Amino acid sequence: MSVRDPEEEQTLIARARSGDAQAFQGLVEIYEQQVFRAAFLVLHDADEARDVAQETFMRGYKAMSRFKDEQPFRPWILKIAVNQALTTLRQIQRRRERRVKTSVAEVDYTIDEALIDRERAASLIAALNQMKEKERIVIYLKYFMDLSEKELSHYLGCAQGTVKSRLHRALAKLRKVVVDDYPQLLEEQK
Amino acid sequence: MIERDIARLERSLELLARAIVYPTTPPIAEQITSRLHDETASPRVAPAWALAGVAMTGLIVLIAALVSTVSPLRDAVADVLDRVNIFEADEPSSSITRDIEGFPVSLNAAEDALGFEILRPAYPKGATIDELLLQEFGEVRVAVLFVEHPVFESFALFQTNATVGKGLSSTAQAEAVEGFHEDAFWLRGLRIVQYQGSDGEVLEESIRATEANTLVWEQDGRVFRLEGNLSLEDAVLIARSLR
Repeated sequence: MSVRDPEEEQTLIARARSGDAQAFQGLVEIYEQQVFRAAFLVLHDADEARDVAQETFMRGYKAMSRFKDEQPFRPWILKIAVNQALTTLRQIQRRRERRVKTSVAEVDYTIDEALIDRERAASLIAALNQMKEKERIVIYLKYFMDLSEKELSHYLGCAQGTVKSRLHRALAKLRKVVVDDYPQLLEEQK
Repeated sequence: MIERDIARLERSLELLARAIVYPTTPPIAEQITSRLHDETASPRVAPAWALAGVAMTGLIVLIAALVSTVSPLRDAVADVLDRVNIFEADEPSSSITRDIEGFPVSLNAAEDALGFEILRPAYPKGATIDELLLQEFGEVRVAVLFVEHPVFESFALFQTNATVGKGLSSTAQAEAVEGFHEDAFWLRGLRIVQYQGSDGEVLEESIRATEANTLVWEQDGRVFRLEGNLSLEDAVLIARSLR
């Protein structure tokens, strides 16, 4: 089940809230890819992202009784995922078992170069990694996870109008990093 | 000029988002199925009893009489309530410290240690940070801001991303506070404060007793605690002023 059917999803949510594990598994099937990808964006590591995705759904299952009827499921589960990924990232950094990949050369994304050239992609990823965590996350959610402003308002716990200003502020911060360190990103892409 | 740059960056972000070839999503649903089966097969504390009180009465005092002495039960309760766990406990013994211990650090050092931005109160106007302590209990780190004001009651503001437990003695009370995006509680009376590691185990070295009024709330995966001789109204104003 990968296509979102709103009615079916609502049924699954209602059943999962009452403790139906099978219904919750239906929600996992719908959202596993998005949760995994959100974790991957934060961690840049597929194995860590897989573990975070698993933990996200286990926490989500335990917290389902707190899920409110009127809120959308996607920002709720992505918030658990991002928080879990950030916690994991900090644990990795603290333990220093291995360095977290953050520099241009180390982030080993596979890029479709028909859409954006590799150097430009690497510079943009590096610029994002120089931003503060919460600013970067807003950009990931909007542009990479494609959350609507309504979904972002649920995620951030603010009004939709505030979402616009948060996004603009994050983009302005990104611009500052780019102006300082990656000015080539402001040239028109060929 | 700035808006033109931002528009270009937005275009680049959209292209990058489409261009990233993500690793294949692993079979998470299968793994969750197996873990849920294991969880439901083993005895657990039912979430419903723990949460019904919050939803229905706005007042939460969880009954777990042996919680302070029987570790598995305490951990099970903690597991139910995410990052803020409130449970009933025995009267704290006099040997439990009431001091807030830690070592003084700069704001930058605290932020580096915790991995997130430390928020500071904008209310009451004129409040200053008298001292910033970093507490370390195993893997758990907590920043404590001691805030002073010429006429306002001084208070301590705790910030962490670890799970916080509050063990209420028979004279303590906890009330749910409305108006926060996530869980918030107003605590009064003698109680213990403790932290849990990522594995859910209570970190014994973190246990401390306090009688100070406390507002505790979750926000963006973190737990904040305002501790001092504050009224609930002032505590809420301070909480809402954090920047």
